[in-house]
Amino acid sequence: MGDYPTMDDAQLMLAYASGDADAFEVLYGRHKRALLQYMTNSCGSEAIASEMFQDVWLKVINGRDTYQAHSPFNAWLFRIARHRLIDHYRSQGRVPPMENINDDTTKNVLQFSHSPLTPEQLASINQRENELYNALQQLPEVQREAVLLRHIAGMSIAEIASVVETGTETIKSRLRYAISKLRTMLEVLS
Amino acid sequence: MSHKSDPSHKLIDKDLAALFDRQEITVPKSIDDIILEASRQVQVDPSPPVTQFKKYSPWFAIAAVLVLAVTLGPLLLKAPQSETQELRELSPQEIMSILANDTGPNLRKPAAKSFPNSVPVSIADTSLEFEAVSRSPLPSSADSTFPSQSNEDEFGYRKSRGTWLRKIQKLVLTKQLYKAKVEYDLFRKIHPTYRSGFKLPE
Repeated sequence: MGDYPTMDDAQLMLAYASGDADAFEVLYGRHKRALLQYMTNSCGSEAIASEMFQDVWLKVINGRDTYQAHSPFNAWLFRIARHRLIDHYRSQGRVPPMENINDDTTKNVLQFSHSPLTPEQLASINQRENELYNALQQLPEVQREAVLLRHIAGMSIAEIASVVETGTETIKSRLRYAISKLRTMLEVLS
Repeated sequence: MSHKSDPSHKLIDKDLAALFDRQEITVPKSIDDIILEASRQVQVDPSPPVTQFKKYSPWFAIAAVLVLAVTLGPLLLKAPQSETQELRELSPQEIMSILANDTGPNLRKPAAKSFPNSVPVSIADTSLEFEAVSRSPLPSSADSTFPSQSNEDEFGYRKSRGTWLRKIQKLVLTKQLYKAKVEYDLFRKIHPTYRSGFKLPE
């Protein structure tokens, strides 16, 4: 049994892979909310997100022996989640919006069928946040994905690039376009 | 990033952070339980259970082979040779040699001592034939009435147990009982362990 609070994610994952089940519980506690929030905001359905959330963690559990310590756990976890989302899009008969998309196009904007926020929650947040949330939904998927990984998972540019499997300059560009569009949309709304 | 110097970008970053912080996203306890249970389950039982049989299956296999070798080996060594092998090894001349050396004396005896009394009434009228044959010289390798290289085809039915028995059966049906008896005795000398449903009429 280790001193879990002082252990980083990689150490916890390695401890779990070597048989320490308690290490996984600590690791899970650290990342569960961010992962579910990322998946909910990505697919737009709490029910589907919950199902995929379980799948992702089960893949982590079953793939515990394949985890490599030199790779940040956060990036590994969200890469699994992203692949699960892509599988979901394909199962829906949709071209995964995360693939082969021009950053500047608006044709592949994912239309949410359900809001991840309840009407009560939406009503409780201020007007600007509500407008920001709606504007976020209008972003192309790749840009929104970068924003979610940046602000929900708290990832660096390099980590996002690792998860999305593209270059850091591309990620910088996507974030820049995303913020510019959000600003424009908010200005139009206001 | 160039937008970091833009105050409006910083404002949006701040707004995004506030937006996501206020989202009330909580993982249901039921999902927590499922995942944590799964995480513990694989530690307790990291691989598919190995049954006792699977664990010891190599030893079972070795033991089974040894038992079969010990029990079946002697039986296979003692087993009668195949028909084709027998036929390959026994030429008609050899058959006659067996007959002359082994069964000859018995057959030379007048079979009337044991055989005629057992002949059914229905075939008693063949007694003349029987007497004639039983008193005749026994076949030998030198006997021209028995198989030789020249009349090998005449006794070709002996090359197969099936045809031989059918020949004997035919002899019985045609009332040639002595010939049938001689053929059957010869058949039994050569194929003592061969099982068939055929029996000579008593």
